[in-house]
Amino acid sequence: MKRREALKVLGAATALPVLGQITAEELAALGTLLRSSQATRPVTGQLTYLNAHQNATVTAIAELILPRTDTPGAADAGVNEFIDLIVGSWYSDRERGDFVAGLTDIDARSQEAEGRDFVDLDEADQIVLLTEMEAESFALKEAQEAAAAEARGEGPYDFPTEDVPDSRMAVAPGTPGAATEGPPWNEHIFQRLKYLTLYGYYTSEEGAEELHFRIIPGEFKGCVPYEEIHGHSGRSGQPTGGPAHG
Amino acid sequence: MARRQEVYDAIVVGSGITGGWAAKELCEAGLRVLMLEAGREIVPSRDYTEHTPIWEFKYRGRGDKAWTARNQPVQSLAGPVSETTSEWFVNDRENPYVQADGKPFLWIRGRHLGGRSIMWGRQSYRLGDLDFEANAKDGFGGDWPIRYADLAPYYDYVEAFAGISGQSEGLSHLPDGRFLPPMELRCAETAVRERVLAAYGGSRVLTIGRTAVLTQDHMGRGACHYCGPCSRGCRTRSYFSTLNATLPVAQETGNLTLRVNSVVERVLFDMDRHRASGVRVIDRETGEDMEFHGRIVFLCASALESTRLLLNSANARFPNGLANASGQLGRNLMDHNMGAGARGTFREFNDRGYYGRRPNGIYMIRFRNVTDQHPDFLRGYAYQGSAYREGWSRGMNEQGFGADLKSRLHDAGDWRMTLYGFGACLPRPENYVELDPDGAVDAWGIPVLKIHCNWSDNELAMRKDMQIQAAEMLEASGATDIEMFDDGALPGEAIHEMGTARMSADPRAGVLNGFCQSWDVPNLFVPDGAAMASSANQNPSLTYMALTARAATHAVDSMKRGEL
Repeated sequence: MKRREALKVLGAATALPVLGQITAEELAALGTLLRSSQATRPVTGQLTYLNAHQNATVTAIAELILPRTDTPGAADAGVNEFIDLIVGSWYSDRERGDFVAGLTDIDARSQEAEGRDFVDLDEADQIVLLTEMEAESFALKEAQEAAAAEARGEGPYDFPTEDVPDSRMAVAPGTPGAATEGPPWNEHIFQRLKYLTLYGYYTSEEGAEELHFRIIPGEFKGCVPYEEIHGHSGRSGQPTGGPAHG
Repeated sequence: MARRQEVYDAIVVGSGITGGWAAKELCEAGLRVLMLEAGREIVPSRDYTEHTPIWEFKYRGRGDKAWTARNQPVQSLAGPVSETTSEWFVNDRENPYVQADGKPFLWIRGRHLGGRSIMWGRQSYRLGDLDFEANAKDGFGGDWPIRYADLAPYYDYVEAFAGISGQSEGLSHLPDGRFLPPMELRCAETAVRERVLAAYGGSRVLTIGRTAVLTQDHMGRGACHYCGPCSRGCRTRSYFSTLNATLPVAQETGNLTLRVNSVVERVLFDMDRHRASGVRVIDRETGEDMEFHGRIVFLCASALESTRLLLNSANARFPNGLANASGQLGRNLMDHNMGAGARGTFREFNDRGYYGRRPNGIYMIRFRNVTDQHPDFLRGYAYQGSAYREGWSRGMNEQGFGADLKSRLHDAGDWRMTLYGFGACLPRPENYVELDPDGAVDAWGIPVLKIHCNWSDNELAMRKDMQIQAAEMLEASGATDIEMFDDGALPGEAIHEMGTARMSADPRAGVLNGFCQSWDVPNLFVPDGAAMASSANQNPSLTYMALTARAATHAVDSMKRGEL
């Protein structure tokens, strides 16, 4: 990472007052961290689990979900390598099997419609297929949420319903009693790919730049016109976390 | 066994929030202090990672699932434990404990220099007389031997050193402190404060969290720079921890000897003098046994570790645990009753936002059972939480992909607000710990605890009310899409475990007097969470600090008078 870029990430331009309080030793330590950031750049071109065809499919889909625009896209951010890592060494055996079967299913659908694998389709046809698959995953989501709403009130407590409008008592998907036909929504292959793409992109250095994330904002302002902070961090919070499913 | 000849004036077991305070106070009074920490040394410039970007963590914060399942299957169940903080939490294989059948309890611990003061939540509230009188009034737990007036000067004292930012509200049941300037509320938080004040005739007050994070430079420590992930450490020493605040002062006196990797196995007892005489230690790395001697002993190992140590220090005179003539040692375990509330949406503020990552939230001050009595439950609760704009992760739950999605997620999402209850837990003797009757031991061969704890109907009734009141206040504030929730938090999950060596007005009713001094062994002090006679609903660490400062003052005065 070049020094100019390092300072951009650190937000030095907006954080000069606070940087004045950090000792020379701490600044040196920050510099060490940033140098190590360059040394251990996670995008390596090395895959740990996916084969070349699976990787090509994942890379193409991730780029369709978050494409390069005037800012880097999923492929630029190495999202395929993050997905390879998660599938290869984070997923359970069952999840890994489901994921690979899901990729095979995508090619089967593509073959049936166009006689070619997904990666060989025109981009427009790829988008048509992904749109269908997303609609399918959201139909599952809606069915699960409806079933959850119906199961409402079967939780551990008996709510005094006269005080509590029904609309407030939503039960989270995955709650016992919320079962529907088909796999849980978040295990549908499209939803898995979308989740992992968003997670991998927005926790990457490229994603942090896309969100104008700064490691050291230097101050806190609780309520300001959105335009004043547009282009600054704090709008979308820290690029970490996200739902624990995947 | 190696016999060490040094006799210290004081031995402090543990280096967390109370151990740090004990060391500072005793060293400043001129005592030669040995501080023993069971875990490894922490070097801030090497071990703090708060500025390490998330892409530097292999799994981007999700952790190595297989490693976690093997080494931290219990610790990882708690919210604060993740890939970026797992170094601060114990290895469950080395540090086992036993849970009674059907009574899950999460015991979330840190064993390293600084203990949980590194990753604590930093929320800092005083208890008031409504809390100190609660046991006497409703009959649960033994009466506290102290009242607010006894502790107020020590709250003043520890706040002035630690640096607590907050807003005075003039309520006697949540006494104001000596605050540094408050952090700002966010737009929707200000609206909820104003609208709830109006809707409830001023009886329900939302204030900015009172937090041990500096909003201006303070006693050589730098003001917060709002980077966000406090629990990974703080190179500018902007929040209170042993390493950031008390330990450097203790070390500067020249009176402190610090020994890390020192697992204390038992407190030694001199039968002739009827005094604690020191501690027996196992070196964490080499397994070597050794003894250290001191004129007074402060157990600051955390509520359950201090209690475990006393249980493991039974002798002929105290067959049921050292300093346990009352039989109360191990009883009255409490945690905070956490995790029920409501959330809602405030789109009216979508043209406004906030800048910087505020390491703090809001606090809705207790309003239940202050002047009246709710028919369904005793004691009270407060809410913590915040209003925030949704981030990129909302895209995972919204239909759409491609450049449109990316453009949408470039901007912040809707304003949401969460009110998350933190309630009192009744002190009940049925919630207790004992040495595991089946003889389980830890990695150093030391007997471990079996924990028996569950929520009573009082806690469960309170959780219903937490949800309903939160939803109604959000509704009164104009929120939409309101949902109630109960996370079903287990006992222990608030990481506020306390009680088990309670203080009491009567020697027969508790383990400690009002100075956290053993009724039975006068040179033995336990000023950590074990001393608590009730939980109140306030986050407890500030009270532990004040209790420790008061205990240290009393110990030093007693030594000067030749009483110990």
